[in-house]
Amino acid sequence: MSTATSTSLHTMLRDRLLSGTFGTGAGTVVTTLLGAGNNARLYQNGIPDGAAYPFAEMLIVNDATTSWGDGIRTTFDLEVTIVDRPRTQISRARNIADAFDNGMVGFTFAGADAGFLRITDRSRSQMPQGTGDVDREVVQIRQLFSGFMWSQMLARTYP
Amino acid sequence: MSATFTNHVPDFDALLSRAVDEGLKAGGRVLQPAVRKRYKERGFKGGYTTGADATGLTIDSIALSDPVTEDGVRVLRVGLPSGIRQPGDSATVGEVALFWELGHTMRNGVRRRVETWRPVAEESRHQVAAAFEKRFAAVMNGTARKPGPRPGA
Repeated sequence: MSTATSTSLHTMLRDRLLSGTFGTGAGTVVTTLLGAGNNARLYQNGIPDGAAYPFAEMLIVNDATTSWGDGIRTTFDLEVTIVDRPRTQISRARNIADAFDNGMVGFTFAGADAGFLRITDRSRSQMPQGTGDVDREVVQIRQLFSGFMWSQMLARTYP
Repeated sequence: MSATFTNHVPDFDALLSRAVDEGLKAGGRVLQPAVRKRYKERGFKGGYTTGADATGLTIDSIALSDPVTEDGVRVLRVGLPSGIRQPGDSATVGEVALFWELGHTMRNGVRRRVETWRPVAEESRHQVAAAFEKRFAAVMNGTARKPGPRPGA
């Protein structure tokens, strides 16, 4: 795990999401619903045509330097969208959201010379049922995990 | 001999409140046309199947709320009020915009997403902040023009 590159950052956050569990006790790991490893249906560069349900997409948005920290400190939002079908599978989508919460809330990464990252906030909202030509059987849950980081990739460029 | 002390704290509180609210409105008046401009650049068909995410009605409906206090913070929203729809449409312009912003799945299984509001807000955040600061300072310094009808209006 590291923040040395954008790719390693995305990999770290994706692995963390996929490590989450839902349910009581030790819980059930979310990979039982999304698959594991590179084949897990947690996409970070667009959703492939014909992707099987359920699937999820992750996207880092609002990545910006803050007013202090000489441009090295950044804040960001990790947006995760869970999509399932038919709508009777809403519980399955919620289980995935629970697991993502479990994996991300309070997540702190502090690696020696590899940067620092902390998730400080989260929110979850369910999209309303589709109207018009939107598939009414699709359920969609959107989560936002907000955090900040001192990334290795930016520190490296600091004189 | 006597001394008179006058408490100006209430006056300062009122001035500060007005400066914050006018600053928020100034910031909103930067974001509102920026979103309109981005929509206009992409055309005005609207709906889910046309490939365009806004109609002229969408653009005309972008509104500023009044500043309100939420969790102790003054907030002004720029957005699409609920309940506005094209004649004959089942979805409101706000619903159409929401599904385009956050992504939606068509009946044929194709997923589509075109973001407008978030990237425009991100790109214009410095201009929004600058507009707030300029108006805030003008009100606090007493150099701001009082709100009222514009000449000729």
